[in-house]
Amino acid sequence: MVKKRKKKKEKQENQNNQKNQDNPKDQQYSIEKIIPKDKFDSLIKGLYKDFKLIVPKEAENEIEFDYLDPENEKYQFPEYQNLRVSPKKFLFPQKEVLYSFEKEGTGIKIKEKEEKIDDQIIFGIRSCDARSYKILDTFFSSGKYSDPYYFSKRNKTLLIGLACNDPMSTCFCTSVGGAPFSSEGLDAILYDLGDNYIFKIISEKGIIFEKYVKEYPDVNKVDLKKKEELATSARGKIQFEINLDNIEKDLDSLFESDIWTKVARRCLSCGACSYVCPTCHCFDVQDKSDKSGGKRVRIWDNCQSSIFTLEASGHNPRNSGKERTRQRIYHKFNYYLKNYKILGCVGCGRCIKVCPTNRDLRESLKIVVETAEKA
Amino acid sequence: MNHKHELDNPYIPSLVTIEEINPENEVNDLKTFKLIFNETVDKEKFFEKFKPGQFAEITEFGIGESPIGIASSPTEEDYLLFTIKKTGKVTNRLHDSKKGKMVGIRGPFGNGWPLKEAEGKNLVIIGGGFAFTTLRSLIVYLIHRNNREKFGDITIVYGCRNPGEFCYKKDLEEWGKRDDINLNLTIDREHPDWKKLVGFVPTITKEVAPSPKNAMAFVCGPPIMIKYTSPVLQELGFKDEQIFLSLEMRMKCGIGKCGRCNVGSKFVCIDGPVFSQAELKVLLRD
Repeated sequence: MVKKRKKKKEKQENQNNQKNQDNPKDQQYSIEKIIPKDKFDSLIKGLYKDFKLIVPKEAENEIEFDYLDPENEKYQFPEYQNLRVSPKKFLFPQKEVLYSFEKEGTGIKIKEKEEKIDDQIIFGIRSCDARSYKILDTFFSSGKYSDPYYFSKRNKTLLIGLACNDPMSTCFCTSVGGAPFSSEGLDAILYDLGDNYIFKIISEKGIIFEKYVKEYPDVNKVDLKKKEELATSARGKIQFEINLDNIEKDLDSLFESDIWTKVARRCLSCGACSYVCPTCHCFDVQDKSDKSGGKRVRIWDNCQSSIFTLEASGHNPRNSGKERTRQRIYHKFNYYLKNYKILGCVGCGRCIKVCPTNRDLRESLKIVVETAEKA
Repeated sequence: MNHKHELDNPYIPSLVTIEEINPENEVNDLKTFKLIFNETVDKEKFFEKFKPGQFAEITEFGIGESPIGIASSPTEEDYLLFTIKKTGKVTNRLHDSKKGKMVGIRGPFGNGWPLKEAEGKNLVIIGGGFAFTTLRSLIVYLIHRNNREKFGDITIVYGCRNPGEFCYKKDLEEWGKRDDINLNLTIDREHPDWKKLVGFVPTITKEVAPSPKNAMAFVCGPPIMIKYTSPVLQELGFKDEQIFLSLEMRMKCGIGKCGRCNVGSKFVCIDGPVFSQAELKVLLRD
C-alpha cells in the first residue's frame, strides 16, 4: 500500500516537471548569466569534470554530434545552422544490443545487458531537437511498457541548447509549435549574442548547472534586449508558415483521398527521411549468433520500406508507396495527436534536405490543408 | 524518468522447454508445441496476466522471434500450447525441433477476448482454418467447470478446406459429445470421409447463429472468411459492438514500440489483437 502511494506521488512529480518544461513562464529559476566567449572553454572544462559532453564537432565533410575530449582540444562551437543527422542516436542508437545469450549444452543462458552510463550532457542542440526528445520521452514511456534501454540513457542525460540565430531555408519549426529560441524540453539554454553567451537555466534538473556558472555576471537589460532582437530576427528568417491547427481533423477526412498518389510520387522508399528524423523511432529486431551464443539487436527501421509490414504469408497491408507515405504523415500529424495530444514533427526540415528526389514534407502538408479546405 | 507499470525488462524472454510436439494436419505444416516454463517464478508471472485471445513472442535463440497466438487456456495451468505454421525462419526451425529443446518466450501480450463483457451472454464463436488457435483457448476457458455457468449458450462454427485440416481433433471430439455446446464443423466441398456439414463458414453461420439478442460473436479466420462473415452477422441483426475480431499484423516487439503493427492510431500488439467491429470502423485502415 505504502509502495503504491509512493509510486503515485512520483508520477505526479513527473507530470509537474513536464508542465514546467511546457510552460517556461511557470519556472521560478531566474538564473541567467553572461559567459564571454573567451571563457567558454573553461565552462566546458568545468562541466567535463562531472559530465560526459556530447557536442557538435567538425567531422570529415560536415559537423556532427560526438563525445568531446576537452583535455586534448580547446572547444568552441563550430559554425553550424543545424546538423544533417539528428542527435537521437545518443539515447536511441542505430544499433543496440538488447541482451546476449550463451549456449550451454542443450541449454541457453541469457545475459542481460550491463551498461554503465555516465551522467552526460548533450550540449548545443537546437530548439527543434530539444523538442524531439520530449516526443521520444512521451512515446517510449507511453502505455503499459516503458522502454528500459531508452530511459537508462535518458535518465542520465541533460540537455543544454543553443538557440537558433540563423534558421535554414528548410526549417519550419514555427508551424509545428516550436520557435528558433524555444527552450521547451531543455534543462538550460545558451543564446549567442556575438561576443558573449547568455546561459539560462530552464528546468528543475538544470539547477545543477548553477555551480558551474555562478562566477559569471548576471545578464543586464541590454543583453536581454539584444536576445529579444535576435529571437525576432531568427523567427523572421523562417520562410515557410502553415496553420496546422486542424491537421488531425483534416487528415481524418482524407485517408481515402487520391492526393496520396500525388504526394507519394517520386518516393524511392529509401527511408533517408526516417534515418535523419529526430523523432522517428521505429526499429527492427534481429538475432546474431555463432556456435557458442549470440545476441539480440535492435536496429533503426524505416516505414517507407516495403518489407516493413510484409507478413510471412506474403500479405502486405502497405504494399505501395502510397500507403507508406500516407502512414508516415498520419503517424506524425494524426496518430500522435490522437494518442498523445502532441505532433510527432518538430519542423527541423532534415527530411527535406536529405531526400534524393527533392520531396518536401511542407508541400505535402500544404496539399493536405488545401484539399481539406476545399472539401 | 518515466519508469512505471511493468518493472521487468519486457524485451528479455523467459526460458521454456518444448515438452511435446504434435502434428495437427495432414500436410504436416501445422504443429502444436507444448511448452513448460523452466522457472516457476516466470510461469507465475505469465499466468498472472494471461487471458484467452492473447499472444506471446517465441524466440529461437540466434534466429529470431515470432508472435504466436496462445492456443491453451489459462485454466490449463501447467503448460502453454502454440499451434504454429511452418512459414518463415523461426517457425521452420521450431518445426525441426526435438522435444527437450529450450526456447524463449515473452508475454502474454495484447488484450485478449472480452470475457467480462461476455458473461451472461450467448456466444457464437466463428473460426476458419488454423486461425482457430486463440478460439481454442477461449472455448477451453469458457467450458471449464468454474466458468461454464457464467456464460449462456455457446455456438461454434469451425470451417476448414478439407477434413485433414482441422486442428485439435481430440478437443473437437470431446466438445461434440457435450450437450452445452452447439458444435458445427464444416468443410468447403464434399469429401468422401466427411459426414458433417459442408459449406463455407458464412453460410453455416447464417443457419446456426443464435439470435443477436443478448449475444456476442467472436471471429478469427483468414481475411476472406472475415470479409463474408461480417455481413452475415449484420444481416442476422448483430450490431458492430457485438462482433469481435482478432487481427494480425507483422510485429516485432509486441509492446507497442517498434512501430509496424498499427491499424490507424492503434497498435494491434497492445490495443488489440481483439477489436470490436465498431472500433475498427473508426480506425483508418490500410
